[in-house]
Amino acid sequence: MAPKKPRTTTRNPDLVRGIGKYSRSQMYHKRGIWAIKAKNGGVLPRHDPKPKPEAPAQKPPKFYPADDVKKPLVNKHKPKPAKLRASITPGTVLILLAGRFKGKRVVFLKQLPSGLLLVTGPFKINGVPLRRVNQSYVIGTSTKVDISGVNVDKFDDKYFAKEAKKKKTKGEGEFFEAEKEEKNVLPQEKKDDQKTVDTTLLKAIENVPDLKSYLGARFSLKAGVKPHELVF
Amino acid sequence: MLLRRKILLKPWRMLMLRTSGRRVHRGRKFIFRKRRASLNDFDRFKIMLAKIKRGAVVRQELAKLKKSA
Repeated sequence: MAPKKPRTTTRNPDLVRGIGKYSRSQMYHKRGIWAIKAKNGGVLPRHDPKPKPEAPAQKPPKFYPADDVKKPLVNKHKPKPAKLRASITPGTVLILLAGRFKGKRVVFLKQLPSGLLLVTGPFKINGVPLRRVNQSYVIGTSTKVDISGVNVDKFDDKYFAKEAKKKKTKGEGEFFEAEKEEKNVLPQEKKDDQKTVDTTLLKAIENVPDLKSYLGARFSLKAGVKPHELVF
Repeated sequence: MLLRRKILLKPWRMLMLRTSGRRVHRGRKFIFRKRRASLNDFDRFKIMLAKIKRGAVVRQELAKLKKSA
């Protein structure tokens, strides 16, 4: 009678690792190999061996390559997006500390997949357009602006990527011409986006007294003021 | 033995924060300093605006007085 359940442990436990309790011949009888053989014409049935892969058609070269071939290391690293600071939430007024707009106060809109912050001045108030800023270069204040009506879904890192410049081949004639630099013109599409976002935002800003002039002012420190003691 | 200044300061400050302390000039100074230290960036900006406004008013009145004299 065959066992009802499939076997979970070996029939031949180890006495010492590598040495079983029963010998090979004892296991031959325990497993009933003789009976299986008798049933199958004296031969233990086996699976057909896997077909061997085709031998290479060309003969292997006589010499191995003398120079080492560089193989790039495997790099599966995927950077995680930066954690957002607790003091920075959508609608927070931030003070920029570096770059073209240092000292300006801007409104934080959202964090992009790259971890950078999407901010806007708004442009009409202080000249800061929609742009990306790293968290390391901002101070988060406790002042909040209501941005519930602002839609920023269309902005991602690709939106801000620079256009690849087409390399122009200089002909013989053009060689002597002075190279005329093309000035970067901001596309109308981006201007429209700026206007769309700022229109809604400006309404929320004008509702709060003095907030508009606050965002238009530049942050600065006076003599004797210790920034590490200030509350923002 | 002499009481240390540090030990004396604590009850003094507690006293200054009470009603009786507010009538003393030094007490009011302490209260103002404490309040000012807790202002945030926006509040400080509003104070600046208020000072500018006050200065403008004072200057106007002074000009009037000078004119009439």
